[in-house]
Order: sequence, then C-alpha cells, then structure tokens
Amino acid sequence: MSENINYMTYPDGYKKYAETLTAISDQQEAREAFLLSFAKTILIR
Amino acid sequence: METKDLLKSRISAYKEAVKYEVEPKNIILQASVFNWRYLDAGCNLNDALTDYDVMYDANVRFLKKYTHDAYIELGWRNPLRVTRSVGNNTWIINEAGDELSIKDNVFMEDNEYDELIAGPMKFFWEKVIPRKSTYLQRTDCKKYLDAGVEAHKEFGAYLKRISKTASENFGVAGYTSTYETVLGSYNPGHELIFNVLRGMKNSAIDMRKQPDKLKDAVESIEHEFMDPIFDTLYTHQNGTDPNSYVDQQQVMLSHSILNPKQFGTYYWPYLQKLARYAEEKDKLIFVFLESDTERFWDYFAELPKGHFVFALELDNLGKMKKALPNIALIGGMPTFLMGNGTPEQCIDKCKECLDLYAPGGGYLMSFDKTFAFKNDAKPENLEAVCNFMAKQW
Repeated sequence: MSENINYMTYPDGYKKYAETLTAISDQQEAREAFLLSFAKTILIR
Repeated sequence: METKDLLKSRISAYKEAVKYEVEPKNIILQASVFNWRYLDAGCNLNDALTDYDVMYDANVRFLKKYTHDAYIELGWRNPLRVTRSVGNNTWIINEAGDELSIKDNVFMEDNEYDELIAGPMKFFWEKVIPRKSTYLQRTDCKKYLDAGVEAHKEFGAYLKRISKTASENFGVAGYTSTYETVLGSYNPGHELIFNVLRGMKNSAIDMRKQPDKLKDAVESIEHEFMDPIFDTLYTHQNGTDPNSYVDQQQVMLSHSILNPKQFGTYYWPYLQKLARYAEEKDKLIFVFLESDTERFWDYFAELPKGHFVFALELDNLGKMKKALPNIALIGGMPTFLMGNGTPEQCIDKCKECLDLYAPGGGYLMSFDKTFAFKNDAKPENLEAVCNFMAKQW
C-alpha cells in the first residue's frame, strides 16, 4: 500500500508516515513527536 | 574527589558563576573543541562522523586526555549519518578527511515568503526538506525516510551512551536539561531563515527588498515552532535543572548581518521571550554568541541578571564584563595562543584570565574560537591548560 501514498505532503503524508513508526511507539502522539525531532534535524543540519 | 562529587561540584560552580549569587570557589573550564578532537585521535572525519563506535572512542579518549569541566559538544553537532541517509550533502568533508565545511545554501526562493508565512511546517516538509534531502524527492522516498529515522534513532542512542559515560566515568554533566532538550531547544525564526532557507547573502537582500514579509515569516516560524514549546515549558516546575549546567541553549549567528535597528525588529522580540521565560521560571540560558556584538549591548543590558551566560567569539571579554554585569561570560583564552604559543605562555594566560575576570563571579574560562582544524591547538598546550585548571578541584 505504501507506494500509493505521497509521504512528503503535510499534514496527510506526514501523519501517515508517522503511523508507520510503530517500532518507536504504539502512541501516534509519541510517533509524531519523534518524527518532528527527525524533521527538525534534517531541516536544520 | 569521587566522580559523583566532582559532577555535583562542577554543576554548582557553573550555576554559581551564572547566577552571581556567590563567588564560585572554582572556575569552570569549558571545552571549545569541535572536530579537532577527532583529528587529534588520528581519525578521518568521514569515519569519526559516521561510525558511532569511532565517534565514541574518540570522545572518550578526549575526555580522558583533556580534562575540562564542561563540554558543549560530544558529537551532536554534525549528525552526518542521519543527513546523508536522506541525500543531504550540504556538509562537505575534504579528500584528506581533515576539514568539514558548508556552503551558503539557499533552499527557498525569494517569491516563496507567502507560502512560508501561511504554514511553516507544510512549507518545510513539502518544499525545503526534499530540496535539501534530495532522496526524499523520489517516488520510493519511504525507504529513505525509514533509513533516516533509523539513523536518527541510532544517533540518539549514541548521544545517550556518551552522555552516560561522561557523567559516570568523568564527572561531567549533560550540558542542557534533558527535559528541555527533548521538548525542543530555542531556535529563533531569523536564524532558520539565515542559516537554512535564504542563506547569508539573500537574507541581507530580503531585509531591504521585502522587510515586512521577512518579519512576518520570523513571527510565523516562532508561532508554529516555539510557542507550543514555551506553552509546555511554562507548565513545568520552576527552577534550574539540578542535573545539567543550563536549561536551554541557543546559538546566535544571524545577528552578524544585522544593525541595531534590524536586530530590534527581527531578533530582540524573540530573545525577550526567552528572557521572560528564564526570569519567571528561574532558568539558566546558555548562548553561543558568534561574531562580535558590541552594537547590541544596549539590548543585552535589559536581560535579567543571573539567568544568561554567553560564550564569546570576537567580543572583548573585559570590556563586555564591565558593560554587562547582568550576564555571565565564557571565554578569555585566545585560540591563536593555543595553536602558536608554548605551554608556559598558555598557563600564564590562564592565570591572567583568572586574575582579571574571576573576581566578583560571572566568569567561566574557555577559548574564543572553537578548535576545528588540526593546527588550532597544540596537544601539549591544551593538556597544560587542562592540567593547570584541574588542580583547583
């Protein structure tokens, strides 16, 4: 299914991608917090 | 002294210097060393910055050989494995593997301010991040996002590991409050526009050609990214974190292209926000103050006493200490001397700094330029300074 989703859209693709990060947490809020930290890193650095 | 006692003593001495409440018995020596430590360990920067075992070993060697009381950087500055995994190659290592540099990149066009103002996160995720991290432009971008997330996770594990070792084996605390770091450090909108979006040259042009849009963009970034962080921080307990030197840290660089009036427009309102937080919640703020800032000292004089500590690069420490008795200062040691002097000359300079700046509090010792290149410091000079300063504990 993932090949049909454009993950580089916001907020839909971003949230969908966060949903895939089940190894990070079973909570969507925690997954989005982790994704935000990652996004900030690749934005700033 | 036992390691855990040393850790507590160092945190106390640091906070005492910043708060100006009592004159600290000991003066903190803060490391001002970036990639020099990898080169001193004989590493190629390509290995040291992408292999976390190499990075860890080089940092442990540095902690063992050069005893400082505080380290602002033990590997977080250049997460190359993370950025490279998504196709971001803005950081360049030379062929010999001993120099790291960055170009004045531009990832936003001059006609895109409205889009940025309307939704910073949407603009970053859809436009800026894929321009910077080119693999994310591909249709199969998920596999690169997965690789980036994995590298980010591994990087976090490395930072946790080195931080634990520094604390347990060397009596050195994490620099910034873990709680506040996880929540998000303060990163002013103007810095983001200058460092990431428009670059040095275009930021200067935008101030003349579209000043209102620039101001709106700074406000919009602040509103989307910083306001939620401050909202949470205000609900947290009062007082400085007893397990770290400071609570928040900020790097100031984009002020280097501003005059005092522009600073008042694009930067000062956001520094005031941080100052209000520091005063109301009794927090300590570290600012890595690049370039020279004398033209802004009238602003800095308004910062609450006992809450800010500035690490200086080009400012004259003696002059600044007299002009700004509200701010603690880090510096005094010329990096040029570390690279060109003798151990005796370096120790004499240490003594001079202690005599001149330590009385009355508000002083922590460090070097004016960070050591990035092999010749920035002779190992024997740094060892001599570290050993001299370590005797006080």
